[in-house]
Amino acid sequence: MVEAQVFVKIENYKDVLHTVGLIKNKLNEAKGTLNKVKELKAKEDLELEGWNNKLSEIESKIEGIDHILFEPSS
Amino acid sequence: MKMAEKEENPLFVGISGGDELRRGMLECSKGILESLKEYENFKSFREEKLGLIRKFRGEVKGISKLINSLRTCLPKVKDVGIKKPEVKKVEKAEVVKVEKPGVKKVEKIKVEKPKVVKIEKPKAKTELEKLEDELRDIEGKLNSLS
Repeated sequence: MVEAQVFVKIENYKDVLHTVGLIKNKLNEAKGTLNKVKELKAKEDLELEGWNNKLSEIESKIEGIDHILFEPSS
Repeated sequence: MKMAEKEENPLFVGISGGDELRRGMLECSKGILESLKEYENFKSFREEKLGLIRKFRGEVKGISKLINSLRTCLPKVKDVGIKKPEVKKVEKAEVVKVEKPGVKKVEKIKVEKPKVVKIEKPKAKTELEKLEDELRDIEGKLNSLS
């Protein structure tokens, strides 16, 4: 199949270039936003990890308290 | 009050390591309070993240609109690349034309009409379904180009 040549009106061509520029800008903006989301997600994960550690710490302390309470002095 | 009155001779249990116990309890309370404080941070992160996701969604929609406007700016080359589907359409049109003149064949056309109605029903589609349709349409176009 022979590919037909495509011609675009000069006014339309200018519009096309302008639109492509706008799309590029929007894409950059979207990339920036997505990177920020990624950063926040990493922070959230860090917080969750911190909670996990804190809960484990509290759990071991409660174990200690439980141990003390169940060993009354004679 | 009644409980206090009843407990005239209360029994006590001696606990060894009282200081250690108290320290443990306080540390637990401290840990819990710290966790609650961190939760506030977490909440603010999440709110910020949701805001950014909303912003991202808007940006993607904007890009989609711009791409659509770009498509309108460019000439339609669909006719050049896709020759085979055109032939199929012509064939279908011919079949319809043949069916119209016959009285009995009109009934067949009537059978075909509800099919069109069935296609119209999914117009009340969700955003996801609309996007899927759009994707399928574009994939079809891409396949016809290759």
